[in-house]
Amino acid sequence: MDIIFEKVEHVYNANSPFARRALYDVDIMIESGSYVAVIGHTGSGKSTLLQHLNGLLQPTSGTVTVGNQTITNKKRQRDLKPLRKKVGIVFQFPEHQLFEETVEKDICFGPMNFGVPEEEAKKKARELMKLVGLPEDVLAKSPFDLSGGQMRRVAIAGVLAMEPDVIVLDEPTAGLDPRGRKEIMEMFYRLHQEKQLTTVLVTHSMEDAAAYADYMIVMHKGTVWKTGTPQQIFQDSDALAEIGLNVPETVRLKKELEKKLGITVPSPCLTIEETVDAIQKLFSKVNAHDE
Amino acid sequence: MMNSMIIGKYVPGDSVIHRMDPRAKLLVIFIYVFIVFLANNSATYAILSVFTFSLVVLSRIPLSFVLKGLKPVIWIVAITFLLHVFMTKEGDVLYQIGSFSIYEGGVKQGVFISLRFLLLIMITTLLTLTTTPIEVTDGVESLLGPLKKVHVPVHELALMMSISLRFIPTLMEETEKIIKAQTARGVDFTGGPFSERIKAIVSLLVPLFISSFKRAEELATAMEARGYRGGEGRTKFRQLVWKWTDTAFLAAVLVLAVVLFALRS
Repeated sequence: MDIIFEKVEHVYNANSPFARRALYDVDIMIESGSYVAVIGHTGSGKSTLLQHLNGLLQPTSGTVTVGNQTITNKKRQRDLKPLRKKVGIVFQFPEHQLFEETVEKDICFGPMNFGVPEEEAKKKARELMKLVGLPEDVLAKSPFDLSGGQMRRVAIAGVLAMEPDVIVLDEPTAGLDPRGRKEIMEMFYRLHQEKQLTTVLVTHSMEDAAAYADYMIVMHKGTVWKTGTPQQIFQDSDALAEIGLNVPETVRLKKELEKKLGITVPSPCLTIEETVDAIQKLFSKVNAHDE
Repeated sequence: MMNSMIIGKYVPGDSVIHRMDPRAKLLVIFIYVFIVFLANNSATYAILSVFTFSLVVLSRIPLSFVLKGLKPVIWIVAITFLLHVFMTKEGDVLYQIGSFSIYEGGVKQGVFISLRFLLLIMITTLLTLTTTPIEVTDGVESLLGPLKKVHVPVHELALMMSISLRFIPTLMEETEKIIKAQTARGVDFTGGPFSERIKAIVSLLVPLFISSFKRAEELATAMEARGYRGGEGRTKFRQLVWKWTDTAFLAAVLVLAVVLFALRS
């Protein structure tokens, strides 16, 4: 399911003294099955953008096309419900949306809203526990007896249970410990690869964007500043710094090395592994020279 | 939803009304609320209206802004008006539609009662538009101060008031967030059968309650960490100062009361 934004503009509180334009001139294309990272400074319009993906917000002008559904400002909210099954959103701090007496009921809540029979939803819930890394006996517990990290996983399972084709993640690991962070990011990446899930990740972590995304959208002051592969985006660290963003640590290491040693490192150094490889190559070159 | 919520929305400014002591404002309004009921003929209503509109002009807040605050109650006013028009049977018959007849007294009564309503709401809206919630609570605390002698927990009541005022916008924001999260999970907040609507409300209220309790606990801890021990011996950052203008306004409203009393029929 491709997602296409054409000339999208969104104004909050339109036609009132409090009107505020949060998005304008947004033209983007998210290909089916891709992993896209959206980065940008706080207030750059990322959150507004992502709420257009499942019709929670409708563009003030312009169109958003998701698969065969077109969203304009004329669409009625009720007609957008089918879209919400296809596009799942994991909001920031998703554990705030938990409300049922048991974890199982909460996970089944989403699918049952879309007409999935109870038995099937329960089966799905059991499968998902393994996927999000929780023991199965948690299903019978109250979500409010769990730890913060566990609640986060339950909430994520609640969104995945709807079996969306597109998953939108708004800083899914904010406030988690480093290990939980890694586990959750790896889980989403696995899902993306195994099920060809189109994934949109809104993040402040340049490292995550570099490691997982194959395409990036950089937002600045309500519009798209630049799009491209992580390699393209992180090439110009000075320009990124100007709009309040930076590059992954490994890219900074590479830049510093190049400056200090007066050489060019051919690898983009987007991940630790790539960087280690590049440094290893440097060493072997020096060694060959010495011998 | 948020746009019509004008009550409680402070509009910064530096007019005479803005600078008034909140205690004076509260007293003026307290008296006003009673003397509104003194007006009962054209002359008294005219004087009352002129007084109220002068206050709005003095506050230098656009009239349209104040009138917008009347929007949420316009239906109540309209129904009150119609009830009086149709139910009062006094004076000459103006119109006759079938068995319904509209009397002159009814129309008069309808206009008066609606006007009374609108003026009351206008003046209270004016209070919240020109006074920050903190000032209002400081004012209330100071005015109720004497009650401390009979062991009324005045400081605690004022604190409760300011905390609840402070958290209204936070709660609204939170509500909107949870509505969005649940809508994304397929909840329909706008329609659907009754049983599903109940379920939708539950999915909103439970998270809202839980976060409110959590926030209350955090707030209490934060206050204790900063050494809060209640009102005993507590000094204020903002001292209330009673100025001659405050006395003048209070005098004006008392004069108004006397005039209304003299002119009412």
